[in-house]
Amino acid sequence: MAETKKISYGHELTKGILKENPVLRLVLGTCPTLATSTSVVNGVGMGIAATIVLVCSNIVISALRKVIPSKARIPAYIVVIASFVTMVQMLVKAFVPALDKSLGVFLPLIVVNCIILGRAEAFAGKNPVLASACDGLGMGIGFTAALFCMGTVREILGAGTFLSGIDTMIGSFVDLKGFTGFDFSEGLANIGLAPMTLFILPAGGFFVFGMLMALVNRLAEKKGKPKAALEGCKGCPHAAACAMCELPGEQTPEDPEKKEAATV
Amino acid sequence: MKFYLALLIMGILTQNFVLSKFLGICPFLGVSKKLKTAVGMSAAVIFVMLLATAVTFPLNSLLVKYDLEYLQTIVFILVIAALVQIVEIVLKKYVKSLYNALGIYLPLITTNCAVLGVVILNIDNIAGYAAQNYGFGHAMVNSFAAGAGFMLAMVLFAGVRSRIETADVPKGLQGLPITLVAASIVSLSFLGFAGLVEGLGLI
Amino acid sequence: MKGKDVKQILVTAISLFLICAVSAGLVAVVNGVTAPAIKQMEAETEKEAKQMLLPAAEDFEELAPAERKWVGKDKDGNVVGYVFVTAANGYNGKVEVMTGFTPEGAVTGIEFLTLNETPGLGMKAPKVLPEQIKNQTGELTVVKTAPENEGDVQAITSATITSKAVVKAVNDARALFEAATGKEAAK
Repeated sequence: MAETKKISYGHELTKGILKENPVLRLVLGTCPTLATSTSVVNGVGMGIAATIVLVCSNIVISALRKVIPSKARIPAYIVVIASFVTMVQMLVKAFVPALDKSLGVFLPLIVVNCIILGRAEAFAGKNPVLASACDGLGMGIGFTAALFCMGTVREILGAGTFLSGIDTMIGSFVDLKGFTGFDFSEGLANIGLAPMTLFILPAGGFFVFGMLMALVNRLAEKKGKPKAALEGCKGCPHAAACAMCELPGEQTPEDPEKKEAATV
Repeated sequence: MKFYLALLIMGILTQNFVLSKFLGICPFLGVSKKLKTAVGMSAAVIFVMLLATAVTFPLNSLLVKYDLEYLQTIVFILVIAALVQIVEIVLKKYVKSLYNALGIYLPLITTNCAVLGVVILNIDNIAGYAAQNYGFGHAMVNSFAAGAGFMLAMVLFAGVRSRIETADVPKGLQGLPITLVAASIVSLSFLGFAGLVEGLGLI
Repeated sequence: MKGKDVKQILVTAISLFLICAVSAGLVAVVNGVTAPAIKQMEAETEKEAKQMLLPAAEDFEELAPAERKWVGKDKDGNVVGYVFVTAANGYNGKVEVMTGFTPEGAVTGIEFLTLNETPGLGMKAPKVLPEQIKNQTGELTVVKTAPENEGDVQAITSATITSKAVVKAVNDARALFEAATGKEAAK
């Protein structure tokens, strides 16, 4: 990408979905991924809200990239992102109140979703508007897809339902003809089975995430790509500003000089 | 008094910020490899949480007074960001020893969702615990409990991870996957505390 | 050199200030559009819920301004029941319940205004609890086994905290009902 100045919009759009999936490959945005994937509808709702913020903030930040002084970069990004989050929050409250209630505190917390600030810093701050929009959309879709996978596994195994609550989310926009999601729990009860509640609980969230990541790692390995890892701070949007990366023995190999610098 | 105790137990054990509320997962996974860094990071988080609550909780009543509640998210994140910067500068200049202990973790905290999370949850609690007359003191205790819960999870997990390092992990699970599975088991163990607050009759 | 520093600080500060101002302005505009919509939405849900609980009522009179207590009257002005909104803390935040009462003090039903519990556990509350609470005339208690006594409500499996929150909210509503009508709970 870097050697050819020409931008491939298709590439910017699709890279976020699989190759650089923000959740499963770059390991960003883990908090909302774990917290809101208790059901498919919940997770996808979160994904869409974050995607909207991501695309909008990428566009604005990219458009302003020559105006924002580099020293005030991070606070400026935060302000832009926070404004869009607030707008999305108000729109969700007004038109999809059920989503607002089920996402709770994680809706305003999109502000600190590392994917968004990460993309602003890594991409939108350096690239033209249209490419940034594509990048944001792709990353957003990747995030949503990961949430969909997590949500599907957790909801089916944990609650014995699929797409439950869809009527409360989009019922007022689309005529669902009384469809309120699939419910297998009664069928299961008839043959003496009950859903494994564990998967809905936080512990199940960690477990499913771990398993999904193992699967993706395996697929990546087959293609000869490196594993997903919190490789030091490489995935972290603050890598440039943050001193954690120089922590002795944490992410970088032991380096006496750096140890000196960090502790003195 | 009972309610303060209830807030402490809830924040640290029954509704642990990391293990049951999923706030602050990034540092939980990233900085918990070594006990020393885990403790330093958590101490910085507690410090910033208390400070942020002390500033934003009164600020919120100001926002409510002028009907500007919708600016909550923007105001809070900016306050936290500015606060972290100021603390870093002040510590660096005047309290060198504290800066050496916590300073390196501070920049990482600005966009730590646990800090913004605790600040927002404190505001939500005003309505949620209206019966207990949730006020500034409660908010501070709640923030401390959230931070202490974060520390407990970090410290416990640092121990777990040091065991994983020497364990024979199946190839496909090596790295982050096994860390997440371990986190799942630690989280599972915290389920045992469920109902503690109600059982002790604190609420 | 110094002048350059000052200039740089000024440029940074001013551009940040401008970004903040523009953002806040935009947010205010969106708020102006959505705030009435949010209010209307909430009012509508509340109205629908009230109507569900007291279908016979034509008109709801507020017992006290902005306290979310209503007395329902039919078209002749006869009291057909009372509706109260109460809240308690569930597993995952506030549980807000609207409870309807007949003039005699039996629960006509409950509606959930805010419920944000664990899917598959606490979120089962609207399916499981209203049936048990309907027509009850006294103080409710949560039990973990099949209900034996009057006023027993069987907790949702693995969601005792949610069940307790709902029952507490209903009991609070009963207290409000008693305060409003001067009736004692059936012992």
